[in-house]
Amino acid sequence: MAEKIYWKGIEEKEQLEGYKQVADKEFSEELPVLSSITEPISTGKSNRRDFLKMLGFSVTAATIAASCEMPVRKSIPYIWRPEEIAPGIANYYASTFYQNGDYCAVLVKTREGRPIKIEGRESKNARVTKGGTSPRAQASVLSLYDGGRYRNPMRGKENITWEKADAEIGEKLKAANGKVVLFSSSIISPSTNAAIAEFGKSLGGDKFQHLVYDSISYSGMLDANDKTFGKRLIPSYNFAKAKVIVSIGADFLGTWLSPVEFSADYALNRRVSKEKSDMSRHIQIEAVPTMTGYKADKRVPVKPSEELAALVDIYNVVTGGSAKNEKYGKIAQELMGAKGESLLVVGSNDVNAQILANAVNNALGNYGTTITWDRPYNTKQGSDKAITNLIEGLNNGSIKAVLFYESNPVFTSPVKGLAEALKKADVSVSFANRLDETSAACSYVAPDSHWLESWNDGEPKAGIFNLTQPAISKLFDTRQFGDTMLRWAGKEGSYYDYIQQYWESNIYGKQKEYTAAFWAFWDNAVRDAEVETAGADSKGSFNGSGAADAASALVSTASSLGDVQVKFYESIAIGDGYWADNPWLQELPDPVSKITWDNYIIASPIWMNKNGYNIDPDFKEKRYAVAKLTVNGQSVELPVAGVPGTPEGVFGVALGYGREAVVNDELKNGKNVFGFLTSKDGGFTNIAKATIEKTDKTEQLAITQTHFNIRLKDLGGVKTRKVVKETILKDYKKDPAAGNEDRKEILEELVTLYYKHDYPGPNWSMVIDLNTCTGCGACVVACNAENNVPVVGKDQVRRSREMHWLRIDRYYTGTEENPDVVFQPMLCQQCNNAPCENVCPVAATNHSSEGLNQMVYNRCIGTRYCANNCPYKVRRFNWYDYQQADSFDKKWGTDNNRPLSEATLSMHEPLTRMVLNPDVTVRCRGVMEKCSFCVQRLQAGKLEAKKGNRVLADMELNEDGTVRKFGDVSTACQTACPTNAITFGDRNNKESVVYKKFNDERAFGVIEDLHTMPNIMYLTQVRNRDEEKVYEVLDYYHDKV
Amino acid sequence: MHAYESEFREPLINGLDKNYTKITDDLVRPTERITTLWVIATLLTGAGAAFFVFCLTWTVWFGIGTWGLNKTIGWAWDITNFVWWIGIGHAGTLISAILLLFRQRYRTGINRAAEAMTIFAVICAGMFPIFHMGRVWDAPFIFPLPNTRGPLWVNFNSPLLWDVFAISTYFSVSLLFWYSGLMPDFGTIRDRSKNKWRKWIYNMLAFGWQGNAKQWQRFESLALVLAGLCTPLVLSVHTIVSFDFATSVVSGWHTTIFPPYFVAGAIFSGFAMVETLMVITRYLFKLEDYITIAHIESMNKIIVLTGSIVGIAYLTELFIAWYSGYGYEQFAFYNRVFGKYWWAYAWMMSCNVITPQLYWFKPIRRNIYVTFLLSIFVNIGMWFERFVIIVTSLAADNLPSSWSYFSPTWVDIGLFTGSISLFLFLFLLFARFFPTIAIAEVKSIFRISSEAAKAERAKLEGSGTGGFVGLQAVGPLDKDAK
Repeated sequence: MAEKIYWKGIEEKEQLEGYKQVADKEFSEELPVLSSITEPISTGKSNRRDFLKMLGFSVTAATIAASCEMPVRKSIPYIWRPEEIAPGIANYYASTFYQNGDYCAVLVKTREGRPIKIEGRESKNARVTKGGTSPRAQASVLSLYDGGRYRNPMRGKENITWEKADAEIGEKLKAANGKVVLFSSSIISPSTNAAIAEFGKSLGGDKFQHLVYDSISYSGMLDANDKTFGKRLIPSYNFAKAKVIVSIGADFLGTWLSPVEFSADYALNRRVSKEKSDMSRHIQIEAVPTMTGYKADKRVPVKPSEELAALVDIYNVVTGGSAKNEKYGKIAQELMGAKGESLLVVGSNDVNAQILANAVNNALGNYGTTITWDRPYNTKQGSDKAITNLIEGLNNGSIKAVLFYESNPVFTSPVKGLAEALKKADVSVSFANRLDETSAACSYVAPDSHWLESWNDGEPKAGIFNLTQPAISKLFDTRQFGDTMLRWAGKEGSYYDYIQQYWESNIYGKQKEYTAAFWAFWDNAVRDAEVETAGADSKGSFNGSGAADAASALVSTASSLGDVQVKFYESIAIGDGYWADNPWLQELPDPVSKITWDNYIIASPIWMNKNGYNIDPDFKEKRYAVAKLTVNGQSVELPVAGVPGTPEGVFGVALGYGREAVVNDELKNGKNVFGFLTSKDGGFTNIAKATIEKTDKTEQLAITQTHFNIRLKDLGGVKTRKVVKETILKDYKKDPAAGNEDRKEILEELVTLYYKHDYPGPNWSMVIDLNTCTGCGACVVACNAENNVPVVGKDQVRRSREMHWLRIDRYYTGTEENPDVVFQPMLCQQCNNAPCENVCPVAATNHSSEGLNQMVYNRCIGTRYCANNCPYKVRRFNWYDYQQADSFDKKWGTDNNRPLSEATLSMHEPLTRMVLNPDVTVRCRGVMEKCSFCVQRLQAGKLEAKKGNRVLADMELNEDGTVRKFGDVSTACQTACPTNAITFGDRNNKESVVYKKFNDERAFGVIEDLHTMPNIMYLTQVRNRDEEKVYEVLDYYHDKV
Repeated sequence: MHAYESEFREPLINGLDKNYTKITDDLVRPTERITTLWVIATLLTGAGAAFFVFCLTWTVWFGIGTWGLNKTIGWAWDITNFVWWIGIGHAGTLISAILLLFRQRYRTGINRAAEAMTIFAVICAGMFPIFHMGRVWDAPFIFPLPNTRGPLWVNFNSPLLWDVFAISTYFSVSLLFWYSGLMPDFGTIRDRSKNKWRKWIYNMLAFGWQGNAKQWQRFESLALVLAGLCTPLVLSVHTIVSFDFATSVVSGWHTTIFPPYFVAGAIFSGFAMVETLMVITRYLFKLEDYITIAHIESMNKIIVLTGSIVGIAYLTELFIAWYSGYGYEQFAFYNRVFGKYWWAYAWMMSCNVITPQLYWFKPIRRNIYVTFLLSIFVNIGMWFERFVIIVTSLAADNLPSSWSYFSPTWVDIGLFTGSISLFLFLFLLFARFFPTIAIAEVKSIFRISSEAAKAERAKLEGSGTGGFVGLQAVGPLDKDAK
């Protein structure tokens, strides 16, 4: 039956248009909402309610927006953007680092015009340092932003203008009724030398004198070469060609002469593989342990006097005589077995020792092969007499004006009285760019610009010319030394033009690479920063007439040294004290002692035990007994730290500590021992007869690792722990997996029920060769710079709170008298089965699709569970607001940074914060941080490849295993390494270098038996020695349980 | 419930003069007057609690760096205190729930205080995991709350997250249990009050308790249901706390024995803390008749049992470390016993394993002074147990290069002693304002286990009445009952 339809009226029945319009709507009138939005109020169609609604909404919205606190960001856009600078993109400039004998070929990374990182130059443009860097070169970028820098010229403590300074100093120099002396360390810049000569000439007659003095002196070596070869130069040492290397007290991997170069060359013959299983033999005879000695195949710990005796013995045997001590006779035999392919280097500054070294090398036929005269060093030209001449001259009035350039003799002079003598001068000027003892004692300061702000050139070795170019415009009202010299010489034009002119007339013609116009050559030279020309005269005829006398002189020197002897050495971080105001270097643990922020007396643990010193300073306080060390009536009180491998009765103290004129007290740590260097035959020697007595005092030392651990042969020594693995060359030749035999078993046991991570893209991996790692710490400083790793200061380091993402672990094995040492760089292992990941309650640490173990800082709530569960202890917690990333203090108007040390606070200065890498988050208090495999560099590298629409380029190696070119991605530690011990890349690429090394027979993962499946492999250490076995069990020292 | 109890069984309420009125009087009295001793004690512990708050503020203001922790040892006193307090908090639930289910009458004298102790211990415990966070202001991240940060969720694999659930559940259930048990007694206090405000407040606290049969029936049912809920919690909470360690890879932590070992240890320390408090309370508030030597002896028996379990667990750990042939594990335990922290291990062993064994001797078990001393020993020992597990394992773990040592700062010490003060402060407030002994529950055993009832019964038996007199109303005693 059809449904009945009812209707109300005719409109509905007929469904008229007007009815339909109304019936479909709930409200008969048009709602005003849409109109108020679509039509402006001004049209008058909106009513009063709409107006009120809109008013209400806008007031509320404005209130909410205004009440939400927005951080004030001080960013100023470019009005005219410099052509080269794209915000967010780094620029690299080839440049040259040089300071007081330290030379390094570098690239400067700048971001938005700020230098933030130093990298090694590509090896083809780094003929000397081969792309490697040193901790000091890495850290030098921080000195650019040093709070202690001079900001303008000064007269005494008064700021003056350059015009005034030029006028006043110029007048006083002219008026000076005596000699005007420029006192500097070795200058490698030919243009600077030329400018100095111009200045000298301008003073007229022989009024001007240039004294060159190296605070870490090679004067003995230069004088010996003068006597034996007639050249006051240091020849080129070629460790790459040496099959047998004997070093007597020369720390050639750490501090001696040209360590970056030597490390690279040395590594060449230490890098073993199945294809090339030969390796050099390195014997180190030394008193105070050095990292070089710790790397040696055979280390002979002796007293400093015995170093000399050993040299005499070797000389005697090599020249056909006989040795008093058969031990050294054997070493001499080894040298003679590799004639022309051996090398003897001696660290002593004693002329006689260097004469004998030359005689031995000559007898071995090493001149022309491992030692060549074609490219002598310009980095060391000083004479020890310079300092005595200066003081005498000032005192007797013959010197009336003195200018100090790149030299701080008031601090470094072994002879006392310079500060007082300076007062007698009419005028004294320091060109120091930051506060130091000498500039504080001078009447004027004419601050030089930092090298990153300067144009300069340099010739570190004859015929290898380098350019330094500014990476930032001058931060302060400074003027670089070359400009000052030219100005004072009355020359027009800038020093930059002067360098160009010098290069046009002196270098352009000599080189063969660029034959086009000078400008083309110059552009290329600036780009590459290095030009090679023919070297010096390579001939050198040895005159051995003084050798016999030298030998007998040495014997008498040795016999005069007595039972207790001290050796003063250069610290790899602080150098001659120039770097003492650099917190990165202060906090770099010494490779040997692992102590930071201080100097101390290195002693034998056995001797300490016998003499009532506690060799086991309690873990809590790290208190060390203080001893009084007396040399020639002068004494110094320093804490005594036991270092295995130090012979009994031998003590070592680092130079360079105890600076006085620095910006904060924390940088003054330690004692200055330059005054203990004794004068001998016109030079200064760093060994002396001493007496030592224990005091009742103790002092705290900030040590990052302690070797005083429990000896547990059967209970988890290092071997049981599978932390480091090593073998000897003979075994390695038989079986490439020697020392790593247990790995097969470990891999078989790595069975899991769980799924494995899937890496569709790259799987970032790293391989570290323990054989070539020298423990120098360049990677540590590079990591600090790249990843904004905070400086925590001495007190926090002592509390075991250093923040380094990458550290170098040092393990001893064998006896305390003469241990073997392994250096092991330790960083986040980026485990594929990471213990840290599953314990974080908030998932702040997780696994990336590229194999990285990621840390999400702003998710982290700081439970520290991940760090507890990390078997490698590489996670670092921000105990305090080390980086001033929190704004609490400012907000609350109080200072909650009170617990921070002065050094840490100095890193908070806006000036110093300019060094921060903008690509890396600055971590706030209470979050965990750790190595990220430089994820910001990985992302940048991937983008680079993507832009080029190509696959990721892997690193390229030369035939000899050195790096020709890094690929699209590289980590900061990898590029910093002077020996290329670190390989990094994509393991999913089966052709990659890292893939091959990862699967090498030598590769092992640290404590892999925990099943962490790390993405970092280590290659076993191979020692070139004959003993069948390395040691039964590798373990730790400790006599107490 | 059995209404008859052998006369040879020791009474749980002493005093021949006891009757229901007297019980009410005795037990409510402490809430009705202030003693000088209480004022002094409260002020002292209050100051300590204030110092605790000060130390927490100091920590949040300056950073976790104010503690003695370092790169190797990320947890020390903080988590030691946490586990210690949580362990102490176990006795309350055990006594309330498990002993209720097992119908142990002696629990009635101690359950209220034990439950209160649980609540306060869990409060103290909770402070440490919260304030050990580096960024405590971001603590809400730990809750699985819907958020605007994309699909960002908590990590359900993390034992720390399990802790959050376990402890918050435990706290809520314990609080409920404790409070529901308090309601009838609040009613009693209210009924005795003469002051208008006091009456009003206790009436609010009692949720208007009337004491009618229906309420009692519901009350009993609730108690039973909560007891059922609590029983698994007693076992689960400390099991989950032990997972913090057991699921890690740290040698010395990664041990499957941990759950039972931790639970036993928790009960052990909980009973010891109950004893410490009860010995003081019964003296301070003159409750010797209600917390008798019989109560103490019963608790001492549990202590010797759980202490022995813990001792066996210690030895098992050592045995397994040796038997495993696993170098890391062997070293961890060798280091624990003979390493830098040998003294902590010695404290732990002597206080937890050796001294409780004295309780095998009845005179010692019943000696109030020895009990007090040993209960303190147990608490010291159990604190050291957690310290030993946490700190010695972390201090020397896998890579010897990073081995380190922990020593506390004043903030660490302040937080530990401050938490004890806070605990005692809360307990003193509780003892002053709430009935320390469950009045209603004690009354429920009065006719069965009191000395007075037994004496009455003996008299009746002596008079030749014989039979199950207990079933009948024991006339004279009921005289004053309300």
